Amino acid sequence: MKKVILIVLAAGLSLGVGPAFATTQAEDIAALKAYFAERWPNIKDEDMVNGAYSLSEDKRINWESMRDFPPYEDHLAIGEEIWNTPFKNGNTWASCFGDDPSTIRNRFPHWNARDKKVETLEGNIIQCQKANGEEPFKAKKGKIAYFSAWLASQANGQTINVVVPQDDPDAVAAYEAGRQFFYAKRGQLNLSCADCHVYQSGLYARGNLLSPARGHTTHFPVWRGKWARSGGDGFGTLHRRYGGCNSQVRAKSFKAHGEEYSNLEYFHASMSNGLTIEAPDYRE
Amino acid sequence: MKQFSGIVLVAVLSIGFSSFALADEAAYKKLHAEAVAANDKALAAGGEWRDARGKKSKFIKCGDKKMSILHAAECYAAKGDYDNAIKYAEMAKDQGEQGYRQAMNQKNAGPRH
Amino acid sequence: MKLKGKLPVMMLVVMAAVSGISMPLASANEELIAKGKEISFDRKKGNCLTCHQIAGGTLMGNIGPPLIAMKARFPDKAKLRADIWDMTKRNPHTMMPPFGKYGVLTDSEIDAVTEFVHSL
Repeated sequence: MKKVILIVLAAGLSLGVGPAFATTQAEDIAALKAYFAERWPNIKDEDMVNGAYSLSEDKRINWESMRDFPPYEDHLAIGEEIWNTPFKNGNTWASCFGDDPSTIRNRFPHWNARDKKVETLEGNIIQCQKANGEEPFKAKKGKIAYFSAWLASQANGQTINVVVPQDDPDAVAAYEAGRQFFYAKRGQLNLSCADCHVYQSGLYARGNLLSPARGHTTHFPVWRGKWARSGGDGFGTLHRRYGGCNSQVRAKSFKAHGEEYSNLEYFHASMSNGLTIEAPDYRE
Repeated sequence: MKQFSGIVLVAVLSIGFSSFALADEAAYKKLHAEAVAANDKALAAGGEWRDARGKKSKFIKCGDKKMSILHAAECYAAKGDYDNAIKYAEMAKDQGEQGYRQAMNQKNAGPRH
Repeated sequence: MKLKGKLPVMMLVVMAAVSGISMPLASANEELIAKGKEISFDRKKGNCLTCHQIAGGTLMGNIGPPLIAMKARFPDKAKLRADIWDMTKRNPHTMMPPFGKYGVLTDSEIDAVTEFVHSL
């Protein structure tokens, strides 16, 4: 019997039947960790939360001096105020997210089995506002980022553990769609997320040190020096960054909190499983 | 007689020019429709590019404004400059076709580490 | 449309022929190299410095190999041009955008860049 199964399996493999990458979430994470550990034997896995700043002493010194006087304190205070302000209908944010603000960030992204979709923190913030008859925040920056950043700051130190229920084929399909997005080349410049943030991470594109993907989602919403210089403040959500990345490779970006980026976040956040939340943070 | 041949000459020339312009306009309209179709197809495959017809794109100059390739084609067509209108409609169509092929080519993308 | 397009081309051919007679060949090539350098360094064009180190550049990346000794590495200039036009043909996983195939640069821009890179 075993032999038959083996033969069937072998036939399937040699014919190239089935998905090209039939690996599970756990296998993907293990392979990614092993890949980076081999690249940088001297860098501990837990230091991956600091991204490029674990790879370059010069960059690290600059970053540490930025963190001595974080530029985002006032914005975090606005975020806290948002949490404490009830809606016009008398409901509070707790009606959507529960009473304890420290338990919110780390529940996302997650699979909603009933609606068969990935839910993200910012997506659900907007959904909560709509459900309560409030004017929703703009999707990528401003108040949504301040609020999300404050919620993330309340969860600092917690270990990320994005769960993909392996017995739910729709959840696995959403995860796999996110993985395909991450590894697919796109845009006129023909680059994938993985090209810069897996295979070439640690190298320089002009003066920018490309950060490894493991650790990315630990510090979002992020305060970027580049965004601060482009007018307004430096805060932006993960989906703002996705849009910016897609646009930089000259691909049409997708809608924030839409299916594509939510699936991408599902996969991308998984890549940081086992690391701790350290948010918000400054990045170049 | 001289006057008559002059008139005929002018008439022939103007018919000639306007038929050129009409042919250009028709060629542009055909290409424009093909460019829209090609980019719709790329969009459906998740592979549309930024500058083909993106509203925020500042890729091609028309007058003193910068815009997407297809918008530039429309902008030049509105000015009656069908050389440029055709050139950019063709470019937008090419981007749509390339974006679609790229998306198909990357359909099974995944880790190779 | 075709008639209208031909006139400027003919003028260019005539001009090129005239300048070819009055100027030595080397300086025409130098001009092409200079144009290629400009395109290579322009962030909105070749933007080669993002990944390659090139003499005379600043803030250069190190994703791709430094562009030195190019004549030794590419005795056949046509092969260099083919790589710039579409590197994915030789390596589908390359970081290098297919500059010609995807229309990032025009054919004449690629000619100039090839000339410049081959001179390094």
